Amino acid sequence: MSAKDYRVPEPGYKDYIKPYPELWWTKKRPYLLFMVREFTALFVLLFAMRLLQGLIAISKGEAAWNAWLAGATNSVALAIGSLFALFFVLFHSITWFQAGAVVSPMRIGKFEVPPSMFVLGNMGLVVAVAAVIGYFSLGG
Amino acid sequence: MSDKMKKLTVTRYNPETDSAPRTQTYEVPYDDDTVVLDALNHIKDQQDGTLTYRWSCRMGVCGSCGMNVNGVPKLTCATFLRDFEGDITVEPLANFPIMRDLVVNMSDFMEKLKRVKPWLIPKEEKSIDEGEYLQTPRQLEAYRQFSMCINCMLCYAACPVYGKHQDFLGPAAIALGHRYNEDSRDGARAERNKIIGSGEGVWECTFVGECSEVCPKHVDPAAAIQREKLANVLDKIKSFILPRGSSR
Amino acid sequence: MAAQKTESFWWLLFSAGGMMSAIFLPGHVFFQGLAMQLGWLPESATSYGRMVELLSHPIAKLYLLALISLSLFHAGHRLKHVVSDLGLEAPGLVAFIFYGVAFLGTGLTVFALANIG
Ligand code: SF4
Ligand code: FES
Repeated sequence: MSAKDYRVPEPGYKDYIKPYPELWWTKKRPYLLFMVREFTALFVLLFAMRLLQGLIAISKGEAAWNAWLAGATNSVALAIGSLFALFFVLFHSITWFQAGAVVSPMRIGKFEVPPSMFVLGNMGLVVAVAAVIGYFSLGG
Repeated sequence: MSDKMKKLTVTRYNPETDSAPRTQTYEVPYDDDTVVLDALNHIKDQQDGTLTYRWSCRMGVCGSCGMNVNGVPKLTCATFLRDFEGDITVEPLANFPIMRDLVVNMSDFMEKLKRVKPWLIPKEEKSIDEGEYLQTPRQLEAYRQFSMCINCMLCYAACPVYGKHQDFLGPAAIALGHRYNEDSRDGARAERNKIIGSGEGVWECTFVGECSEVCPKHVDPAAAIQREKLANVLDKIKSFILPRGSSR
Repeated sequence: MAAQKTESFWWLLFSAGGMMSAIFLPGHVFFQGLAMQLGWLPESATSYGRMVELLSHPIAKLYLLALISLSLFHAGHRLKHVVSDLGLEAPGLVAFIFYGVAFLGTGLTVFALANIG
């Protein structure tokens, strides 16, 4: 069921319809930030694939893992990539919690948690989770 | 008025003679109290009676004076000249067909408002003898914010999704539907969901969030849309787990 | 162009994956990405034996499956919209590619995890 297209002027009218700019997301700062937010998904995708690649190497046995590991350590190119990934993934986390605060504002009893505090608290959680990941990654 | 002057570049379009809009620049005196609408009125009264635009209340309640001021959708009766450094550009509200000068065609929006059935549809109709539909202050709070909309369409002008896809139901219409869905006296969520939960409804939104930024009444239509998405999905999960259970 | 009818389902996966990746991914990018690539991890911590030992635990398996699979669906869904925002309007094909990658990745994750330990 599609509604009538009111951007087509009715007979007898000469409404002017401005074409929408192809590059609309470059026209305003908030639009650009929106695009950056959406673009973080590329790094989420790439890093999830990277994790999967490591898993597959482990599943193939010791030789495959050691080969993968050799490629993954002391690689400046990959490290630069990871730096970018870290930036965008953190950008994703922050914007995700900002959105979360809009979708379901948090309440503790009568106290309405302000969005900035909600984001800060959740980023604290991210750091705590990273610490746990670090504990296992460093051999703890 | 003081002798301070401001340049206003205004969109002009005469459908009878123009094939596309053009601009015209006026200079108007202003002081600290002058709003963009005052400036337009000054132009119309003193300089150029042919300038066409909509307004009524001059106090931010009727929602008819929305225009793009320096590219940002604004109520011109609540936008002060003193807040702008240089010249000011006044354009018709973006994303709508231009009918004449600063007047846009709002038929699309009007049609969409109707489609979400923005009125109370009680679960069971009560007779007058049975009394009122009671509501606690807390139940009122659940939707109050979303009932503040003045239909000014600024949110549509700020929305790139609507800019690209005219079939999108859009911020204010969904916020209004949400307002009734959240009303404890209402029972027509499922019915509204046919349009709100459709491909032309909430699922077209990518949460750019600019609608809420420009809304002069702090309705936060972006929040309404995301909450409708969530409710929509939860409903589906519920009906998946309990196929015959709820009637929601 | 109206959104597809199945959008709510993808949105659910998108949201779950968004949450999962927002909370857990930064730590992994730091340790399994940056730290590993700069050689900050001790060799003993990345030895094959230890990896297998860690990944043999069912909770670790479940966690990684959820993290990888949901991240892929999250990213795929978002990138589908990015592609259309950039002006390429071919929703069917684009959805097929991105969700296809997510399904494939999920399958590979299951397969890899099943073969560890
Ligand atoms: S939601 Fe806000 S911006 Fe949109 S029409 Fe209503 S009052 Fe105007
Ligand atoms: S004239 Fe009524 S809102 Fe501006």
